[in-house]
Amino acid sequence: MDSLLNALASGLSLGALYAVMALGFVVIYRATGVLNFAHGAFLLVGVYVASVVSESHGYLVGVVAGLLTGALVAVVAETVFLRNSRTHDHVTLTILTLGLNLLVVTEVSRRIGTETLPLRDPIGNDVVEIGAITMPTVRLIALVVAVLAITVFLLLFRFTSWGLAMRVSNQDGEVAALMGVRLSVVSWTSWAIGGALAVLSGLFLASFPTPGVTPALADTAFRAFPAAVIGGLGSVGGALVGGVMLGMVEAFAATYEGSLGGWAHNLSGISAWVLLLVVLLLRPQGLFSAKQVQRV
Amino acid sequence: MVEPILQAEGLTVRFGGVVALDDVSFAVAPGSIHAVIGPNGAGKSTCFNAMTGLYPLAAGTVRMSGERLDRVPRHRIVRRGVARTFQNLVLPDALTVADVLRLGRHHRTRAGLLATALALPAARRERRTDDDVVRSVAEILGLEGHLDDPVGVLPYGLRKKTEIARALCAEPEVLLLDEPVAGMNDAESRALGERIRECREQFGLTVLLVEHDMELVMSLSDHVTVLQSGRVIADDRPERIQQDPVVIAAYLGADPAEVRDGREEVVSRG
Repeated sequence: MDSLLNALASGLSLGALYAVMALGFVVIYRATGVLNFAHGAFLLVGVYVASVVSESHGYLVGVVAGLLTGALVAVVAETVFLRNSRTHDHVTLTILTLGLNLLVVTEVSRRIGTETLPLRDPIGNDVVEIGAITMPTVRLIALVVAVLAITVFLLLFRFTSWGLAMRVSNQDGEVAALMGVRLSVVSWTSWAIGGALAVLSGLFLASFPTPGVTPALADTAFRAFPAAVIGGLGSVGGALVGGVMLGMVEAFAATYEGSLGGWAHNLSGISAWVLLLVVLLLRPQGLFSAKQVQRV
Repeated sequence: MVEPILQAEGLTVRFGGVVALDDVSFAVAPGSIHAVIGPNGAGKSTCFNAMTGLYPLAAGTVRMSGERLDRVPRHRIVRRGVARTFQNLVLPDALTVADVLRLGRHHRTRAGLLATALALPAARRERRTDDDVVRSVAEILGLEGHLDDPVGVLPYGLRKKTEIARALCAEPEVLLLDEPVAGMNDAESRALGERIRECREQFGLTVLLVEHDMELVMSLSDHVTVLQSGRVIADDRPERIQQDPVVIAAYLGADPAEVRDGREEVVSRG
């Protein structure tokens, strides 16, 4: 019973972080039609900068620097590499982001080397106990921050003219432009938000119980892709649900894999992909796929 | 003639070796309903797309109130007072009608993200004005009961009206309608024609429309420009266009050059 509650709590917290990461991925896809496989690179470079800056300026300054770096790198990627070929095939641009990911991750990995960089968050390895649940304080804060970030984003997305512009510009860019929407602004702001959200989730994923910043952190972005696909690619609500589902499944797998015998060894590591396979078998369009109506 | 509000001069559009528009000129008088007609493939929609910056011009100019419109980036065209609809419906299905109409207000939005997020007075005022415009436009077009419906579930006629309403919400001076009644039955298109006329009165609009429905064009418009194979073959009041042998021949498939002599007689008699 206790382990069940603990799995739930840690799954929720982990899931909220995956949801934030998947949200950034979907924002970029919605606005520009590109699957951003450089998400892990944005995440890693932002968290790396946060770690470096926090050494001299403290944790909070480091966090702000990291978020800004993530946004900036994403905007540079958009304006320098993708903007000029924006009219080109989205598949080509998607492959371009794969290359970009490799370049950035290789460079940051070289700088980190074999070390594990600390993030110097003031909470460290404290744990909180709520009834039967014991969880790292950082993970509880992560849950709160993730929910806040998601709420703010949804409000902006739903109620501002920027959000409206974003919701329509990928589907019918010409109409949006003729209604006064600057597509280039929608595009770079979406990439900036996507980059910052990736770093936000990365900052918590690199905190306790994770020992610190290692190049492997970039691989956690590989949770964002299945989360987005499970939810139905392009659906913001779907990305959130997909993220939470992944977190839950992973936490439960981690809790119970030890008692399941040899076949379940490292089940938590592959649980995201098992879930993806199951969902795609049962519902190929994803759980909340944006409804597409074909018209002549 | 009074100073035109919208003027096309020598519009030429080429797609590869194909000349889609060839030296097309016409002037739209302020407050008028001006129709562009022509057989299929005459270049009517191309003309609209060229005038709103979607197709590059090989030659020619478009002027709005005397100022060049053809050098303006797309997203600034609506600010110059020109809004349009499209021949094929382009509406995001998942959005509600209210959201679609609100997009028409985008270019007037001044409040930034922060002002909106903090609900500053200026942002709230702006939001109220937007809502008022959205509601009054919806009422005129009979959409007020559907504001919260997703566009995707509406029947075709209402979706068509939603698109017109979106353009109207931009409060344009000139409204370009690309086949507004296509796919509607006679009663529906007559009713929509009435609405278009009312909108003109109420908002002091100038309307430029491409339309196939001859009955509607003749009853609604003050002036008609006829295109054939990318060229202007007639430009006159609707009652004269109806009797123009060149136009009649064009619709029956004759070569305009052969019937041009016939027109001189009709014109001199008329």
